[in-house]
Amino acid sequence: MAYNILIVDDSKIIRSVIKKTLEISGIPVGDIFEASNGLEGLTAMREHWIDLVFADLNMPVMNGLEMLDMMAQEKLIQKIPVLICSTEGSKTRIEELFKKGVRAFLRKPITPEVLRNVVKEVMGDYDAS
Amino acid sequence: MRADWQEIVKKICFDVLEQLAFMFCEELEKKDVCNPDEDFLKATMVFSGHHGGALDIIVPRQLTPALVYNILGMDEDDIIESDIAEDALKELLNTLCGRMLPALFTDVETFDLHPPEISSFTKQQWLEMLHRENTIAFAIEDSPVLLNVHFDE
Repeated sequence: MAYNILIVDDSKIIRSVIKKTLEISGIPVGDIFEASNGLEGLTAMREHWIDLVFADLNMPVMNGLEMLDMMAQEKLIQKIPVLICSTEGSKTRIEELFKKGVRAFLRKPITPEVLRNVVKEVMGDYDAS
Repeated sequence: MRADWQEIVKKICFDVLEQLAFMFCEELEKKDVCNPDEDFLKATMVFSGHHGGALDIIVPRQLTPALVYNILGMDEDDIIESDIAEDALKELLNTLCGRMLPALFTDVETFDLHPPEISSFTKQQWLEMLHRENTIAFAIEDSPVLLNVHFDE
């Protein structure tokens, strides 16, 4: 099964890095969608079948935390696994993310090896139903 | 800035550039930095929270395409979009700041990183920045780079 992936990050270069890393990681990837903030991310989740979301935290318009809160309120998208890719270094904040249902936290800069392992770990026990 | 903090900041910077862009840094003594005749870009990130301040990185404008090529693993013949070079510099600064603050304080403290801002920097401004106490100088691919950290009182 190939995964449809949504990348939510205001940095074009980081979206490109994640796309490129996914391509060389060996993960079966279907369509890759991009959004530059949480609001655009929510729209993409409502319009397309998304299996996995990579999201940044600090973004204009709607940040990653606000997007997570909005997702939690919508039945159709609340179960989509979210991986946060951020420079956040505070344990306190990272713990809050996990309490909100985030499945994994990747600290930038991310490497292909770490990304592949985390995706395998998260998607391995992901039930698309 | 305390001497031990300077060492921490320098190590983080060198590690991030290596991991993010596969670029290797060479330490420079300020007295050995030659006066470059170049156009510079300054990226600034203000942070607040447990402690407030800002982190600046100043690079020769001509270095930014190399940053993009290295981050994305592109060939130098590939055409890059004009806005992506500044985006690369912003992302570098964002990563540096995110790594630096928990290393200087603790990972329990929380900080808010404000969106990075890019501006042009003149040679005169560059010389002033070089001689500030809180400025670290190093070279990437023979181009001089300055990093300045300052904390609010």
